[in-house]
Order: sequence, then C-alpha cells, then structure tokens
Amino acid sequence: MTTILVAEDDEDVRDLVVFKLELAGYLVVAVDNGLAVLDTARSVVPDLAILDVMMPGRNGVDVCRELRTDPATGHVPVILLTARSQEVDVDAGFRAGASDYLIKPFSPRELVNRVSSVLARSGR
Amino acid sequence: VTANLLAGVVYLVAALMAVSVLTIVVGRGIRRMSSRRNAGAAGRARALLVALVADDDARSPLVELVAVDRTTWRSVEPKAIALLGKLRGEARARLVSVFRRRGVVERAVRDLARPSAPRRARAAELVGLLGVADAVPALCRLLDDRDRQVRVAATRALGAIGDPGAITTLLASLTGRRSIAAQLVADALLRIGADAQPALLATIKDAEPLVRVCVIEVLGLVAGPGAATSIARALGSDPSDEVRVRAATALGRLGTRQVLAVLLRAVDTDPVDRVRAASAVAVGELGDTGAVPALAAALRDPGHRVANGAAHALVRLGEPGRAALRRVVAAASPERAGEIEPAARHAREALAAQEVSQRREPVLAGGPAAAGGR
Repeated sequence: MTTILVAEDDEDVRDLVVFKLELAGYLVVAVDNGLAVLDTARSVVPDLAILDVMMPGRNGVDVCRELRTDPATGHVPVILLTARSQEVDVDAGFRAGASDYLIKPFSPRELVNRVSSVLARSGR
Repeated sequence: VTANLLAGVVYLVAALMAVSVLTIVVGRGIRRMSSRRNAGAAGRARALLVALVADDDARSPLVELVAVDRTTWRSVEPKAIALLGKLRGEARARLVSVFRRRGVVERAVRDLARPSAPRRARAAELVGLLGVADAVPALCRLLDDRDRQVRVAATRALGAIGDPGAITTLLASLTGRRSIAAQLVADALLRIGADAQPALLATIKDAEPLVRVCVIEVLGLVAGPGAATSIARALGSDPSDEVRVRAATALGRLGTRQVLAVLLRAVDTDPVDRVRAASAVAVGELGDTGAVPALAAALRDPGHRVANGAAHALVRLGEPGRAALRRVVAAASPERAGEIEPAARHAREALAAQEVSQRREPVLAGGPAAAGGR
C-alpha cells in the first residue's frame, strides 16, 4: 500500500487531508511539526510526503531540503502545501527539491490529483 | 418549649444542608452528563465537518450538519469558519451551503447593522468569507463606519467578495475623516482582480493623488496591456511625483514594449530623481536591448539612484547590457576618473551583484550539501 506522510500543524487541515487521502486508498501517517517529519520519514520511509511550510520546530522548506540530502529519504517526492503564495516562496520550495507546490486555499480533490500525478511521475 | 424549638431549628438547618448537598451533587452530575453529551455531539459534528469537505460524494454530512442543534453547531462553527479561508472549489461550496441552510448568512447580514461594533466587524468578516454578494451595499456603507475595526473588516470582505461595483466606494475610502489604509484598499482591489480594470481606468485622473497612486499600483498588478496607454499618460503628465514613480513601475510590470519611448523620455527628462530612477528600472523590465544606449547614457545621470537603476537595468537586458557596462568600466582610466568614475562605479557594482547572484543560485538550489561542496 502506498504510504503518505502528512506534516501539518493545523489540526483541522491535517484531519481533512488525512481523511481525503485515506478515502483515496492511501495509508497515511500524520505529524504536527517539522522535527517529527525527519524522524518519522526515516523510520517509515513514505512513498510521498506532504509538508506544510509554516510549522513549529522546522519549516517545511528546510525539512524538504533535509529529506533530499538524507540518502534514506532523498528519493521521497515532496509536495509543499502552504498559504505562502509569493513567487519567491514557490521558487524557494522548488529550489529545496519539492516536486510540487499547492497553495492554500486549496481544493482537497486537487490535492489528491496532485498526489497521484507526483506518484506516477516518480514511478510509484 | 425552648428545647423543642431549638431541636426544630437544628433539624431544619440539617435538612436544608442535606437538600443543598443533594442539589449540588445532582446538579454536578447533570452538568457532567450534559457536558459529556455536548462533547460527544461536538466531536461527531467535527467529524461530519471533515467528511463534508473531504468526501465529494457523501450527501449525509451536509444534511446532518444542517440538522444539528444550536449548541452543537456553536461548538463547531469556529472550525467551519476557519476552514472557509483554507479551502476552495467544491469542498468550500459545500461548506458555504451548510452556513446558508442554517440561516447563518441571513443572521450575519442582519448583524452588519447592529449597534455593537465587534458584532458588525465579525459579521463583515463572515459575509466576506462566505462571499455573500447581496451584502456588498451594506459593506460599502460600513467603509464609513465610526469604528476602525469595522471599516477594516468591511474592506477585507469587499475584496473577498470581489464585486467590481464596490471599487468606487473603496477608492473614496482612501481619503476623508474616516479613511482606510491604502495598503488595505489596494489589497481588496487586487483580490477583485482583472475585473477591476475598467473601473480603475475610469478613476486614473481622480483629483486625489492618493487615489491615483493606488489605482496605478493595482493596475500594474492586475491589468492587461490595454491599460498601458493610460498609465504611460500618467507617467508623462501627472503633477504628483509619487504617481509618476508608481506609473513607471507599473509599466515595467506590464512589460509592454510599446511604452519604451515614454519610459526613456522619463529617464531623460523627468525633473525628479525618483521618477527617472523608477523609469530606468522599468526599462530593464521590458527587456528591449534597443534601450542599451539610452541606459548607458543614464549611467552619467547626476542622480545616484538614477545611475544605479540604469546599471541594474542594463544587467536585466542580458549580454548586450552587460557588455555596455564592461565598456564603461574599461573606459574608467585613472586619468579620466573625474569625469567617468561615478558611472564606472555603478557599472562595476551592478556587474558584481549579478555575479554574486549567479553564484548564489546553485548553492540555494542544492542546499547545505552543495554549499559545503564548494
């Protein structure tokens, strides 16, 4: 089963994303801060990670960069989910190695479409 | 008799105490049960809320959420309001539908006219989040509310609803006794988007410079190339320095090369440094290498900002611009330093800044590992 790691500090958005992804047939592991992402990703090694950018502990862009540089998680595609919509923010996300960038307000249906698209591109 | 009376009083006090204790115990029990029941109902309502926005096919969460009692809805309403701002598409439409069916929209519209300022502000925020187009006239009236928070909430709500019919009132709110911060008004106009263009163009010659600044700033961000002629006219003739600065910047953002001649004229002839500098930077944004000679000449402008802006604009024009800068640097021999040195300094600084920026890019893209590897 395809495993997705979701990191989001907003409980309502986290629950919504988890619900939507589980409904789409994915196995979801959720955490609420940036520090927990790295530990969880190393132990679970998900097929994809969805990271909020503004989280306590570590921000999503830094976490994404760190996932990229770790040999154990470097292959995991990352989707950044954030309210930061400036060109410079999107640019920083892609530079950090994100595979996709979804801006809040977001459509849950679009999120699932992006997930399946990124997974398909990465051959999973 | 006295002893019997005393015994009666003691008995009565004891009975009252027993009844009081019993009342407290039973009351607490009832409250605890009620609290548990409410918490259970709130938890269930929250689960329904998540299912409502996440499940495109389910009908029952909507029906159930519409039917929950008022206490339960109150417990979940703040979360529902918070989600409104985080969602779009069908998920958001379903959420809005719950608010409408529960009568929240009608209540919020009524609350816009309440005597309590916090209540008016909350209502304005809510009708904005819910995108209630019918509330636009009431929100426009609130732009002149005596309470600042209400005016701010109404401005934001009008931006969220995005009705171009509110533009004239929004612009009028920039001035006067109860004025609203220009940044807030500009933000609301930006949210209205490209539909705002006709109304903004109609106001580009407003008597108030602050209004013209705001109009041109927003046009530069939302308008199509069709707005370039009106903005170019403002750059050429507006009496306000600030308006001309914004006009030059807006023309650079629009990127229409047909305004190159107007911008170059401003670089050459505008009496104000800031305007010439903004025009030079805007020329760089247009990306027309035909502007290289004019920008190279502007490196000798007596205004520091103008010469600096021209140097960075030349970098933006790519290799022809950089070549012009290198020629200026090379020509800066010590013997001729008095005449040419300031221009060469600007040229050298712009070339160096571009080199640093080029070196930074791979490091930023690769993160710490790439940085360490260098």
